[in-house]
Amino acid sequence: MNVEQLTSALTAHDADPDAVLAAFHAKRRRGIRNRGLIAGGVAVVIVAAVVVTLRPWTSASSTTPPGPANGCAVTSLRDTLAMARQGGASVIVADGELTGRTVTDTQIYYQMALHSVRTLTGPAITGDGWIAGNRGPSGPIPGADAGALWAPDGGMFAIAWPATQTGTTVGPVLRIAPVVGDQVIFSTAGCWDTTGLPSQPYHGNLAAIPGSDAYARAAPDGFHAVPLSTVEQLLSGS
Amino acid sequence: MTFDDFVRAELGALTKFTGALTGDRALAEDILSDALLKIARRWRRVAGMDNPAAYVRRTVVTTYLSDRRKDQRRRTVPAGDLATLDRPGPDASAAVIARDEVERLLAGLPRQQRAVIVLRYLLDETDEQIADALGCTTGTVRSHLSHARAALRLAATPTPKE
Repeated sequence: MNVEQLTSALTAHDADPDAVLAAFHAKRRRGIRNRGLIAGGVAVVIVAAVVVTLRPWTSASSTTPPGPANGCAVTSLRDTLAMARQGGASVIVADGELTGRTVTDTQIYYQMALHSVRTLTGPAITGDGWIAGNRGPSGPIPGADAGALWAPDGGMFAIAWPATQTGTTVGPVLRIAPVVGDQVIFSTAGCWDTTGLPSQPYHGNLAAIPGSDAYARAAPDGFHAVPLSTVEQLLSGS
Repeated sequence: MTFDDFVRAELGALTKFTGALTGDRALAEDILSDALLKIARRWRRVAGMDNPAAYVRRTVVTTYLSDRRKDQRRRTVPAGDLATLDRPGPDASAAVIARDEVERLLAGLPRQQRAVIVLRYLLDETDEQIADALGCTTGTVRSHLSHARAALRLAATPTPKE
């Protein structure tokens, strides 16, 4: 092969300028449209997070000192329980088990079958409840709290808000904390605030919605074991 | 100079360059439009450069070299009987055969080596310019050039830039 043959072969496949420009403009239009869709998606997620944060049941149940970093407002457990009573919610202790059914509202709700329900206050709760995973269809909701945790054997303490109060398509919506033995394990998973209450650090296993990473997200702020009897006293005094 | 002015002025040369680089018209159109898209997004900065055309060629080269994964998706596999191409026919001529041979040898080059060949023999670029375009050392350029020449069985007629 000589250089002439080479250069001749190299110049035999020139692109068509019109086709290049057509492809360029088509790709540019597609890119603009895709960026618009992404921006719209982000906006929807942000709006969903704001809606979740401002909902009555959420603000009523928000607690814990760590503040905005964990997505929780500061409301003491005493005040939280008082608001639950006054707002028509039920407070229960039960064994919960995920059924595998989910419903997507402003976020994804996971159905939980409730067994051995003991209603501490409010209307009796039977059957199923729904827990919020603080996840939307696209993943965790920015700014939301750590999610939901319960005991490995299903034990949980819960405030059960009826759908009429939460405005959700499913209900009751449960705000839960694990019950291990005779201790309720409070943390930022559920936005619980135990400031001022006698508590012990808890380091055992807990259950969470698969893939939610709730344990890891709540761990930095610690797990606080409070005797169930103390919680019941708070409830009766609220 | 606006981006549109630049494209109007340089599109002809760029289509030749990209065609030589890819050896495939459709692929060249895809690669060049991708590269122009990247350039359009950063045109303000590119326009301020001493030699925007060189930067754009460099972008075309890097787009081509990083295009392997996309290429796998885009390319089709010929389903015809390729052996027919090797059978003697009544219109066969020495020129056609020689041209086919050149095309075949070029198609067998790794992309880096082909890019070096195009930049050297079509654009007459120096080792330093090629190294800059490919983001490698001049030693690597010389190595690619040496291997490519051997693969192409290119007659050892040094270009003025060597």
